[in-house]
Amino acid sequence: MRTVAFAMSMLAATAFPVLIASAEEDHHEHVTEAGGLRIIHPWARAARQGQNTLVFMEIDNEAGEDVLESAETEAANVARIVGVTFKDGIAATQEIGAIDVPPGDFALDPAGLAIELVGLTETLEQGGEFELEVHFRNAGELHLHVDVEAANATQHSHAGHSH
Amino acid sequence: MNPFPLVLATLRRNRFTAILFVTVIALAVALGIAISAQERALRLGSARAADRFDLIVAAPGSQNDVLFSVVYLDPTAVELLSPEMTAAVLNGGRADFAAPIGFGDNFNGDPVVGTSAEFVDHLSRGLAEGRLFTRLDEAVVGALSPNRVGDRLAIRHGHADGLSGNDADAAADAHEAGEDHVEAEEEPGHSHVDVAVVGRMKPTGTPWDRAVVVPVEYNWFAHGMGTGHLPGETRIGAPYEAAPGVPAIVIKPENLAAAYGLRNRYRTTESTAFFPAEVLVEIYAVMGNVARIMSGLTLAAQVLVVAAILAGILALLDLQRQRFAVLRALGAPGSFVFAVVWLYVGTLIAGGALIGLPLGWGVAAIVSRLVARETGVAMTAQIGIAELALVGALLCVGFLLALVPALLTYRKPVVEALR
Repeated sequence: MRTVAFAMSMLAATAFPVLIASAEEDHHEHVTEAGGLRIIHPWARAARQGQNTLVFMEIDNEAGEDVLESAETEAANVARIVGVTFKDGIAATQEIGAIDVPPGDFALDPAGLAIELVGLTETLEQGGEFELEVHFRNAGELHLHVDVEAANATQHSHAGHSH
Repeated sequence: MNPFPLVLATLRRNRFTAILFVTVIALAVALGIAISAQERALRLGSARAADRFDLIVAAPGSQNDVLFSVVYLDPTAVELLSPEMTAAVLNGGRADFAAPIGFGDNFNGDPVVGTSAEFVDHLSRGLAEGRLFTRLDEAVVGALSPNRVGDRLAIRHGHADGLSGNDADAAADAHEAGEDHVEAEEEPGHSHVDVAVVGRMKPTGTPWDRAVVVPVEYNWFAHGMGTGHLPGETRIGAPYEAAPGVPAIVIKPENLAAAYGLRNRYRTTESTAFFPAEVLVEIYAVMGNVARIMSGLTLAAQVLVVAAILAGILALLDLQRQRFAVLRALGAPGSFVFAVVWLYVGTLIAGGALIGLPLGWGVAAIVSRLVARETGVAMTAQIGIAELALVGALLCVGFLLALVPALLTYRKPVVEALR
């Protein structure tokens, strides 16, 4: 099912060559751009196969209003957009669905929004990376290389670097 | 053979030693239980106190300082949001309400906080008595405030940065007359503006329970910053057409998606926005580390106590070796002597642990009450799985260690012991 979904997303990507042509990644793959959106420093916390983890990123939206609709990856059974909540000081997540991405700087961060990967199909080791597709209503599909940071990390190890 | 009568007889024969051993074990266990239960009470109490403060927007700077000022009313010098940013946040939409918060004044040592009637209603989940304020010179008091509905309070201004020396009537008259600025008199740090108490909040479990809550317009007006409304306007509450800068704004977002959207929108170079829980979680991480270190130390102390007691028991049993040897000579099996010694030592450890558990809970309950009285944050110490696990672990280790004197007594040759 996951493979089918991934194959379909690849098919969709081929069907929209304009989006793909405008999508570019810089040499160190910390930044991905498409349709006026720049995604900087996508990262996730290390976790074992079968566990869940969260993906965070900074989004620089130089286009108009957009909507982050969904995400998918081969590294997990399900990828869903969640908000991080705290009950009695314990962190949990709650599914939010599609989220508005207004023009300007927008962040998925450890105390706010995140993409939760449910049921990892592989162990994510610190220092590794994996691929994630994120789908925006206007900017289309973006193909990200997500860096894996420590299991208790609170930010990307390159946070603060300008790209 | 039933070993229990002999175990009881041994305990009775050495009752003072037994009481001493049990007391020392109980105190060591109580210390560990108290630290563990108190840390959790502090964590839950402070988290629940912040529950009604959905999203806080403030000037860039220390979120900890803002949190402690707004939720726990422990005022520190926090920067003000600019008037432009204040207006943008107060009128930003996607919220059930956006309530400005002003603090810094006090009445008889209790904090005086300025905000909107909507936020008072939200925090208190409806009032216990009276009504919400509808005029600039009215106030609602917290559940634990000594002030009563109907009292008139002459409020002292803690800061000398605004107006001082005007009385309630002058302030109210000026407000009614639509004046939005009153000249400050030169009496640094003090002014007396009476407000009438018109309502009392329900208990919130926060330091707001002792506060005098006034309309934020009162803070602005009393400090010579206008009323937050257009000249001639005498009403209070949103919308604030001419709000000056405020230290913080509490927002109740209209839904979860709006909460994250607004948090993101107001994290700019001119403002910061945060959920209280996200700041508390960082504090808990530090607190948890400290608690873990202290728990480690108390666990080490418990092990040392048990080890010292075992040494004492070995000495005690050595004195009684002849009695056990006589028992063996009379035909008692080795396993009986083994069971008597093991149960004797195990009873001392179990007794200490089981007395230590409620003792520790009692200590934590007293400390919680003292901390709650000091900070205003309601907290209840409870025994949870962590504390039961601690006692369970000590019992397991204790019963294992009790095998040592039992084995030593069991293996000692009868003839040698009889000498």
